[in-house]
Amino acid sequence: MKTLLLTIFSVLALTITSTAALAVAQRLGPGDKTITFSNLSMTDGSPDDGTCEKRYGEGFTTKNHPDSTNDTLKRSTDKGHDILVIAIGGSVSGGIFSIENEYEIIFPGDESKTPVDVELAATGLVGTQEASGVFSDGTCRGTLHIKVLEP
Amino acid sequence: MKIALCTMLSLFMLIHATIPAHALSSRVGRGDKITTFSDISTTDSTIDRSICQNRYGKVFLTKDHPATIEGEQLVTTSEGQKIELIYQGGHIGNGIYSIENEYKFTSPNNENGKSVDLQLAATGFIGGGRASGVFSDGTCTGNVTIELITPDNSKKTSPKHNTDPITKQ
Repeated sequence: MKTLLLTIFSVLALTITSTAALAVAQRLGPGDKTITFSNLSMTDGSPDDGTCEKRYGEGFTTKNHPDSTNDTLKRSTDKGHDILVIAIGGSVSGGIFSIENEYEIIFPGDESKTPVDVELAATGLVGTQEASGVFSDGTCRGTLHIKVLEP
Repeated sequence: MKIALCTMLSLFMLIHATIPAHALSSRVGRGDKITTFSDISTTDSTIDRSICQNRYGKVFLTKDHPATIEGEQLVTTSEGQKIELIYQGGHIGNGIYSIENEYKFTSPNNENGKSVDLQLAATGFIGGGRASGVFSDGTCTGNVTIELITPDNSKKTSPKHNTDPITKQ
């Protein structure tokens, strides 16, 4: 009985992880992406005290991180961000997709190199290689647009 | 042991079911909304584009259906569509949210009252009264914007919402 239950669980877990991995690849796909931010404010909607403009005033293009492995997924950017991917989520269905990811970002201007937890939620149409949505890091929020660069 | 497990599962399911229901009402917000579809296209080039134009070509205003039980399970629109919420999902973050809902959507003017499964994925700012994203019913896809036009007036008709602190924006 226990073995049966465990087997069912394992098969279920396998199915969930493998379909997710396949489906996730239909979203923006691999490759470098250009990310632009707009409508910056504090997370409660009050005007930016300067922190947000400093962090997100300029967009960036992501690229491979030399320390990225299968176990720790890292990205860097043309501006010198250090990005650790800590959660990947979302769904793909009927030609539309959503992305719900979480990152720890060390911003290039930050001397103390403190990682900032950034949540991202975006949606898009499968095949367009673009997504738009919102982000928040607990201090700042804003809208964002992601575009996959032509290889 | 079995009883403990059952109790735990029940509790978990209850928490799971109640928290999102409350939290989700802090997304676009309660009240009438204007829904606008744009960049409408077909999922397959062999499909007649006019089907999608008929279904989503017109902007409509949603109102809570008089027969609705809790919140927005049933919705009527200014253009006569019938919308039933069949799945509600998404996340609430720090000042931001996502919506991943599924509806049974019935167009007023065609297809013999047959409904389609409409999936919607959208994002927005908490308190912003506006969400934008994408939709698909398997035949038609495109962008969608939902905008709250009237502030919460459901309190008059449903005293239950008075106790819900999250609905105030």
